[in-house]
Amino acid sequence: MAAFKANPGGTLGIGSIFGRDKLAKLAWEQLDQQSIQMTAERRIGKTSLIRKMCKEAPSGWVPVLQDLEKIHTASDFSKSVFEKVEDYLSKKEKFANKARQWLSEMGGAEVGGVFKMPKLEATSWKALLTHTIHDLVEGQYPDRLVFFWDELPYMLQGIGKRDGQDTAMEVLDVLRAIRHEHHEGFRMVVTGSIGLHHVISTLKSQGYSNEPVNDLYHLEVPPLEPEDARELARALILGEGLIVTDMTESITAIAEAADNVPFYIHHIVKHLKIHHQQKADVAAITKSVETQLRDANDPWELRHYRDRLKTYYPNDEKVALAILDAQATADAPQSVDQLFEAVKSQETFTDRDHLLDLLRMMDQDHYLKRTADGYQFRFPLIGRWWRMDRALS
Amino acid sequence: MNKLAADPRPAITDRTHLSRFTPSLMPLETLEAIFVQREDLAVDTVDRIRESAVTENKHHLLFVGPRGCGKTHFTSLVTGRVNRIDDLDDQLRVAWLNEDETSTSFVDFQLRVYRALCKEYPEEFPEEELSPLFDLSPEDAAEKLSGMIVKKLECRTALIVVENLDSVFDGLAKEGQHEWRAFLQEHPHFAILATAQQLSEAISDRESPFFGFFQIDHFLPLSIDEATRLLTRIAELQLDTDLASFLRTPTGRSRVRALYHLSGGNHRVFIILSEFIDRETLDELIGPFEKMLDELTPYYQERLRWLSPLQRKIVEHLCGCLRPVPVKEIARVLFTSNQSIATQLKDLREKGYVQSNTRGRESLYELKEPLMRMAMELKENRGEPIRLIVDFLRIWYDQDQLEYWLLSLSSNRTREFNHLSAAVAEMGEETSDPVLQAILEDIEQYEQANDQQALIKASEELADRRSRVEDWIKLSYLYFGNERLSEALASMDRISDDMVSEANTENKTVGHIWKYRGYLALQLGDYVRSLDSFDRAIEVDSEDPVAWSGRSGSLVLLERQEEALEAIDNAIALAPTEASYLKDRAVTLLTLDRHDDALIAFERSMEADNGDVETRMLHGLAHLKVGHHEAAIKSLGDAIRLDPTHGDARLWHVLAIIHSGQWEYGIESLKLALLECVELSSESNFIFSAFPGVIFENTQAPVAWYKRAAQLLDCFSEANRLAEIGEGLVQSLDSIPSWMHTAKSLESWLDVWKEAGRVYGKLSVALRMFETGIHYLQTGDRATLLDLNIEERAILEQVFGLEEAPS
Repeated sequence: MAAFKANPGGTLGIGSIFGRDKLAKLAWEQLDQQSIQMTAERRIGKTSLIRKMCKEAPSGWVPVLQDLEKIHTASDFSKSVFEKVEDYLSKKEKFANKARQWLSEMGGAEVGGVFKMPKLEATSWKALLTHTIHDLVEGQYPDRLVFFWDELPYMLQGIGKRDGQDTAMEVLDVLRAIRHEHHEGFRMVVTGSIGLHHVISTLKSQGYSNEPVNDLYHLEVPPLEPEDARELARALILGEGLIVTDMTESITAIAEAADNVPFYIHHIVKHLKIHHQQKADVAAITKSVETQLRDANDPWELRHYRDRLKTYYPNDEKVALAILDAQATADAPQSVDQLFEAVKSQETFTDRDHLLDLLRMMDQDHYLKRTADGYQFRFPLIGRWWRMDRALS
Repeated sequence: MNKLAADPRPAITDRTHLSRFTPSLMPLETLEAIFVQREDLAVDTVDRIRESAVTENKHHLLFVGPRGCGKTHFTSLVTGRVNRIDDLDDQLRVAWLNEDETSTSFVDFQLRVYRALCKEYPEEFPEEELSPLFDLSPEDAAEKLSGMIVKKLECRTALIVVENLDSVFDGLAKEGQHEWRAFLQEHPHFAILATAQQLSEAISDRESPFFGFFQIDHFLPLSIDEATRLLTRIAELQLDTDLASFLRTPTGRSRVRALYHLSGGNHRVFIILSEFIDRETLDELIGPFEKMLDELTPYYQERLRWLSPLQRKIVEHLCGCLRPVPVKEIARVLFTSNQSIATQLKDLREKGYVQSNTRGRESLYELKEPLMRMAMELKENRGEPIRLIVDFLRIWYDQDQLEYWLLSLSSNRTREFNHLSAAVAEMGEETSDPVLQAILEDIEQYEQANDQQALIKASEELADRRSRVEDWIKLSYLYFGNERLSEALASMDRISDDMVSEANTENKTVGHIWKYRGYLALQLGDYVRSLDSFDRAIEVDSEDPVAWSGRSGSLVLLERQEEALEAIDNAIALAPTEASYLKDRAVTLLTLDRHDDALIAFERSMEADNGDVETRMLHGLAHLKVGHHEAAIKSLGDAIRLDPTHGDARLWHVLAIIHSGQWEYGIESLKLALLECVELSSESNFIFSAFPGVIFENTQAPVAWYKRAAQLLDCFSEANRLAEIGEGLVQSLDSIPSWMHTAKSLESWLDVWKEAGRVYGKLSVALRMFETGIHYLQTGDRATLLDLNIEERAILEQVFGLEEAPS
C-alpha cells in the first residue's frame, strides 16, 4: 500500500501521482491524432500529469519536456528547440541537417564536436524553427517526438514584451503552420499557469485576428475522481503516520473537504500532522480546513481568485464580483436571468449578451461551471472560501 | 541564588561558546543541547528531506521568521542531523549556499550552488571545471553549468540550503527566478530547505514563479515557558545546575517572565542574556554587558545606514518607544504627514525592520528586533545609565544583592555606581517592580483567555514575589479548580500567622482561611489536620456553623462519633433550618446505631430540604438496617423518583425488595437498575458485596442458592457488569454469616458460586480469589493465601483485615 509524506507544491514522483492513468491514456490516444492544449485551474496537477506522461510514454513516443518560462525571445525559443532536436537526433546518430546548414550559412560552426550558434538576426528565428522541425520529422522515424511545452503562455507574454506583440503573434502562427505542414509528424502538448485564451485575447486587442490554437485538442485536467482522492488521502495519512480511528471516514472527509483536488489534500494532511497532534479524525479535519481557509497567510492560495478578477476582466471586475457574490449566497445553481437580476441590483448593467460572454469566460477560468440548472461554483470549496472571505451570510 | 562553595561550573572563559549571529559555527551537539520550541518540526523536516533523498518526491521547505528567531539554528541543526544519517551518504548531496554572496543572475546562483557542492564534495564537483565557463556568455554558461550539476549528481538528490531566500529572489529578479524554477521543473533532482525573514512578493504573488512552490512554516517567538526552557538548557550546557534548578522555581520563572516583557520572545536576545544571568560578581556583569551592547551597535548602525533619511528617523524614534505606537503619533513627532509615514512604515515592514499590530482600526508599530533598540540606546546614552542594564539588574537581582554591591563599590567605579544606584532607587515600589508588573499583565491576559495552566504558573510567581494572603488564596483556588488538591492545601499552608496579622486581615477572612484548609485536608483524607483547622476556625468565630459542621465531619471520619454529634448539634443550634446539618446529624446517629433517633433526624432533615435524593436514600437505608422493609422500599422509591438514574439508590432499592421476600420482583428491578444506571458512586463496591448474601433470603437449600446465584450472575452478565459482582463476591467473604462457618457449609457455598459462575470467563479471577478466601476461612491458615499472586493476596488480606504480611 502506497505511503508517502504530504508535499503541497513540491515535486512528486510518479508513484505518488494518483488517479491520472485514464487521463494520460486518453491524452496519448489523442496525440496520435493531433496536438493538445492542456488546461486546468492552478494546482489541479497539470505538471504532475505532464511528468507522468513523460515518464510513462507508450512505445514509439519520445517526450521532451521544456519549461518555457525561462525563454523571453523568439530567437531563444528556436534555439532551445533546435538544441533539443539535435540532442534527440544525435542519440539516433543523426543531425538536424537542414537547420545546421542554414545556421552555417548564418555563421555557425562546429568547434570540437559542439555546434557553436551564430548570432542570429531578430527575424531569423522562424527559419531556424521551421528547418529544425523539418529535420525532426525527417529523422525521427520510426519514433515520434512530442514536445511538452509548459508555461507557453508565459513565454508568449515575455516575447510580446521583449520582441513585440507582432512577434508573439508570429510564434503562434508559425507553430500552427508547422502543425499543418507536418500534420502526421509533429506533436506538441502546451500548457501553462496563465490561460492561453487570456494571452490570445490580449493579442487580439492589438489587432491579431487568427485562431492559432483551434486545431489543438482541448484537454481539461479535472480534480481527481473521489475514489482516487480518497486513496491519495490514505497514502498521505499512512506516510505521515497520522492517528485515525476510522480510516474510511477520515479519507472520505479529507477528499470531500478538498473537492478532490490533490494540492488541498496534501495541505490538509500536512496541517493535521503539524497542528493537530497527528490526529486525523473528522473533527480535526473539519477544524483544520476551517483554520486554513481563514488563515491570513492564505496557505491554500485562494486569494488569487479574488485578486485576478481585475487582470482577467479589467472592464468587468465589479460585474464578476457581483456574479460570484450572488452565486456564493445562493443555495442552488443560478440561471442566467437570476444572475442578470443580481448584477443589475449591484451595478448599472443592462447588456445581457455581455453577461453571457462574461459567464463563458468565467467558465473557462474555472470560477463557474454550467449545469442543466444554471451556473454554480466550479469548486464548492472556492464557493465556501468566497463566502468567508467576503463575509457573506 | 546561593551558590555552592565548590562551584562545579567552568570559568566564564572556559564555557561553551554560543554564537549570537552565526549558530552554524556551533557543533551539532551544542545546537541540540539548547534547541527548544521546534522539536517536532525538526523531526518532521528531517523526515521530509530523507523522503526527498530516497524517493522521487522532492520537498521544498521554507521557514519564515524575523531576524534572531532561530532560523539559522534550525537550519544548522536539521542539516547536521541529515548529514549524520549514514544511509543517505550515497543518495544526498547538501549545498549550503554562502549567505554572504549575492546572485544577480541565474548563472551567479548556479555558481553558488556548484561552489557549495565543491566545498563539501571536492572530488565530485572539482573547482577547476568552472574555469572554462567564464569564457561563455552568461546564458550559455548557465546552461552548461546546469548540465554539469545535473550530470555530476547522477541519480542523487541535491538539498539546496538557502538562507535569506527573500534577498536571493531580490537579486535574481523575475527573470532569474523563472530560470531557476524552469531548471527545477525540468530536473526534479532538487529539494530546497530555505529561510526568509518575510514572505516577499516573489513567493506570495500569484504572478511570481515560486508562488505556491514551497511548504511554508512561520516561526513564532518564544513563549515564556519556551524562553525559560531555553535558558535552562543553556545553564545545563554550561554545567550550572544551580541556575538550571533556580530557573524551574517560581522565582526564576518570574524573572524570565520579566525579561520576556523587556525583550519579547526573540531567541537571540535570550541567548545573549543567558551570558549574564549567572554572573556572581559585579566585575562579570556591568562591564561585559556594556561591551556586548557596544559590539552589537555597529551592526545595527550599519543596518540603519541602508535606510532613507525618513525611514532612519522612524526607526530611531521607535528605538525610544517601549510600546507599539500608532502612525499618527510617529507622524506628529516627526512633523510629517500620516500618509508619508504609513508608506514608509509599509516599506520598513517589508524590509523586516518593524512589525505592526492592529488595535481596532488602528495599526500600531514597533521595532521587529528588540536588540536594535537596545544597541541603539547605547549610542544615544552619553554616560547615563543604560536602561537595559538598569532593568536587567532590577529584574534579575534582589534589592539586598544590589545594595550590597553598591556599598562595596570603590569610589572610582562610576559606571557601576550609576547603574546600581539607578536600579536600587527604582526598587521597593510595587508599581515600578518590572517583575511584578510583568506577572500582573500576564495574569490579566490569561484570565481573559481562560488559559488555566498559564494562569497557575503566573499566579505561583505572583504569590512567590508579592506573598500576600490573597495571592496564596487565589493560587489555592486555581489549584483546587484544576483538581490539584495537595498543591491547593500547600498554597494555603504558605499563609503564616504573621502574614495574616501584618495584613490586618479581617476575622471573616481568617476564619475562611482555616475552614478552607480544613475542607482541603478533609478531601485529602488528613482528618487530624482537618479537625485542627476547623477548631482554629472555631477559635476565630465560635458562632460559625460551617466551622462546627466541618469539625463534626472530621470527627466522624476519625470515628469519634459522640464528639461529632456534639459538634453537629452546635452547628444546628446556630443554623436550625440548614438541611445538610440535619442530615449529617442523622448519619452520625446511624453510625452510633441509634436507629430510631436517626430516623427522626432524617425526617427533620427531609422537612427542611428541597427534595434531597441522598437524604431519602439514607433514610431508606436506616429503615433497611432495622428491618423496616416496606418503609425502606418507600423511602428508596422516593429517592428514585427524584433521580431515576441514581445508581446507589436503585441498587439499595433492589436489596430492600429482595429482603422483603420479593425475589422475582427484585431480580427484575436489578436487571433494569444495572442497565439504566451507568454511573455509580464510590460506595457501589460495598453495595455489590451485599448481593451474594441475598440468596440466603428465606431459604437455606443449596439448590435454591444455586438457582438464585445463576439468576444474579445472569443479570450482571446481561448488563456487562460481571466485573462488579466479581469484586462484590470477593468483598463479601468477610460478611459470610457465622452459621455458615463450618467446613461443609463453606464448601457448599463455594460450589454454588463456582457452578453458577463456571460459564463466565470474566469471573474466573474473582472465583479463584473467592475459592482461596473460602479455604482460608475453612483452615484459618494464612499460608493458603499463597495460592494467589501478590496483588490478589493483598486484596484478600484487606478483606480479612490481615494488615501485616507475615515476615
